[in-house]
Amino acid sequence: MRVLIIEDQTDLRRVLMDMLEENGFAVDVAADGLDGLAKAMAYPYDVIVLDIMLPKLDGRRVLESLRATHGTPVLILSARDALDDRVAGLNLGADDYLTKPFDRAELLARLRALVRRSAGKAAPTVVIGDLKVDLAARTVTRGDEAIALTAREYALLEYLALHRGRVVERAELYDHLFDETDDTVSNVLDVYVSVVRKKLGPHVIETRRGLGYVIP
Amino acid sequence: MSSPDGHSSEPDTAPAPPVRRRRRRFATASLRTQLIASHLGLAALIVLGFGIAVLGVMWRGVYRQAEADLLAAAQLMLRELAAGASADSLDVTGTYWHRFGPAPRDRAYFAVWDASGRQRLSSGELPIEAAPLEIPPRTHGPHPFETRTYGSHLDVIVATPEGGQLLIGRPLAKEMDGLWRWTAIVGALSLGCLVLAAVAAWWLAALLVRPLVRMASGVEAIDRQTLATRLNIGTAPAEIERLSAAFNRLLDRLQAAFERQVRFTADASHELRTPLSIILSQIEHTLSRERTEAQYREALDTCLRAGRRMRSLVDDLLLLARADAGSLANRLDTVDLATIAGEAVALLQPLADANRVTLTADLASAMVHGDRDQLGRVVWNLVTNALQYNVPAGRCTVEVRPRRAQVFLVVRDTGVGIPAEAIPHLFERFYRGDSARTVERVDGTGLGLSLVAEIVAAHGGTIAVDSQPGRGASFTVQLPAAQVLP
Repeated sequence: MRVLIIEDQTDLRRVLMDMLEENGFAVDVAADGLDGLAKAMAYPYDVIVLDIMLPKLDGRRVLESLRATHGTPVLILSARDALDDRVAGLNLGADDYLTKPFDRAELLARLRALVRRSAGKAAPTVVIGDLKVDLAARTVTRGDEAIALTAREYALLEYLALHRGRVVERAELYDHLFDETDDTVSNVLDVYVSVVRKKLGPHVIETRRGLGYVIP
Repeated sequence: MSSPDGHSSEPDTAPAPPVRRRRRRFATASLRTQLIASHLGLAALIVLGFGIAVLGVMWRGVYRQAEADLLAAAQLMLRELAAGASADSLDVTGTYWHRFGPAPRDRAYFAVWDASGRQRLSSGELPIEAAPLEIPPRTHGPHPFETRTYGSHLDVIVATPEGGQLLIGRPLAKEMDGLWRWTAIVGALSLGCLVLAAVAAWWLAALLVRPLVRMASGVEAIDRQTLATRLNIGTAPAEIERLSAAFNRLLDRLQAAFERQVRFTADASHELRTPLSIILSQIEHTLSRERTEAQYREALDTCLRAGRRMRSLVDDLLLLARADAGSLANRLDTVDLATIAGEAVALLQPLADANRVTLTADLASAMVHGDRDQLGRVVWNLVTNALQYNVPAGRCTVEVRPRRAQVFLVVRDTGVGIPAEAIPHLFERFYRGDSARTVERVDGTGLGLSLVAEIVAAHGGTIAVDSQPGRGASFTVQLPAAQVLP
């Protein structure tokens, strides 16, 4: 999942980035409203974490401008905790509101729930044949046996599972699994797909030549 | 008092009995009661006075009339005597006989005495008080008769031509009856007037009291939640409308102050939440799995930075709280502002170097009364601002100079400047202009300039700012110079 963090506090931005990257997100960051809006418009993020008090362009303006064209899920992460602020934020088109200081587990759970919901999958588990993908716990099990995947491998499976039945183009996968700083060699995706097939079985992910990948 | 007999068993100062203060009941009674009581009292006084005056005037008229009638009757009898009428046939003439009244209790009596005081004749039923005068009445002048009253009797005594005295008198019974009747009428009218006055007073009191009662219940209904409501008492006497308007203006100020306080608290908690969430998130993240030593070190560094930021914020908030409590600049020493500024400039030189700003000082000794730490804070905050909002290769100058009875501290920079619309808000708490947000690496609490303003004000000084966007800014602090004894 690819996430954009728009936050002006350097330390908080870095902590958020570390936290999300460690949990399988591809993370882009922006330190002010203008940069954030430009990135939010340019890339198809799965979710955006937005601060309200931002330099150059206020978080509310960012959200307003973004909502004119984009439906990307937005979670507002703000130190303003008054009811009015929450209501105003949600009314501007935010999908969720979390106040600082926040709980790490809550932030991660809310972000995953936002991603699931925007993909049209409210249920936190996806069953593929004899495989069970727990989107909340980020685990893959066959029967009682847990299958260990790296963050990237899991992210690939997760994205395809969320969009199950749809053929996902390679470009789309690149957009959602790698952040702007990742060095994306053209065949890196094929490497991940083959590793996942090796771990889960050859028919979990099917290749549609010239189109992309799909979990049928 | 001393006790010469040495008895000291009783304490000299026995506890004084509690002074029983008489409660001023009238003052605590309801306004309506007071108004009605005072109205009614006043009306009763007026009606009573008026009634007494009317009855007095009336009685005087009746008395004068009776006196004149008796005198006229006496004159007629004197004329008859002078004409040599027989003393036995002397009587009150018909006209006056009727005028005095035929009833026995009204009937006139008379008597004639000669010069030697011997009674020559008298009518029947002469009261025993009817006696001749010691000194005979005058025969000429404006008042040639004497009158005498006793009980309800009125006697008129005139001198006879022979030097004797003629007395004619009567009990004023029917006049008294008339007077009592009039007393009853006036009394009844007065009572009616009092009833009317009471009704009017009640109505008037209601008219005055109703808007006050409305106002009181309106005021009682206002609390923290409904601070935005205003009194609306409708039409009321001008003074009460004025009171209501004054109260509404007070509410305006109260609401503004309250909102400012709420905003300040929200801002303060907002500013504290950011470093707090950095600490908590960093710790949670770091503890979520095993880390290398370098990662732990980095995490602790982050927490330290956030903690320091919280500390400086709390320090500023405490200083502001002291400013609000009016306890800034409590400890006044005679200090040299040049020394204080010099120390601050020396300490800030590394920051200037880091920002690639040339920091220069032009300091002339200038003594002021003030708190050394707080004045140092003023210089520190102003210079820090000047360095942070400066441009690379910019300049910042600090100048201290005395002039007449004033001391000036001027901090100039060649930085981004302050937009005109931001200047009025510059000293507000947590106000950070757009420029403060667009300039990277600026890491203030948003309280620096409001603290400067509070400290300067507490020292009896003023602060002025002059700036144009893009052309830097200059802050001028003016403090009263200390009187240095020769």
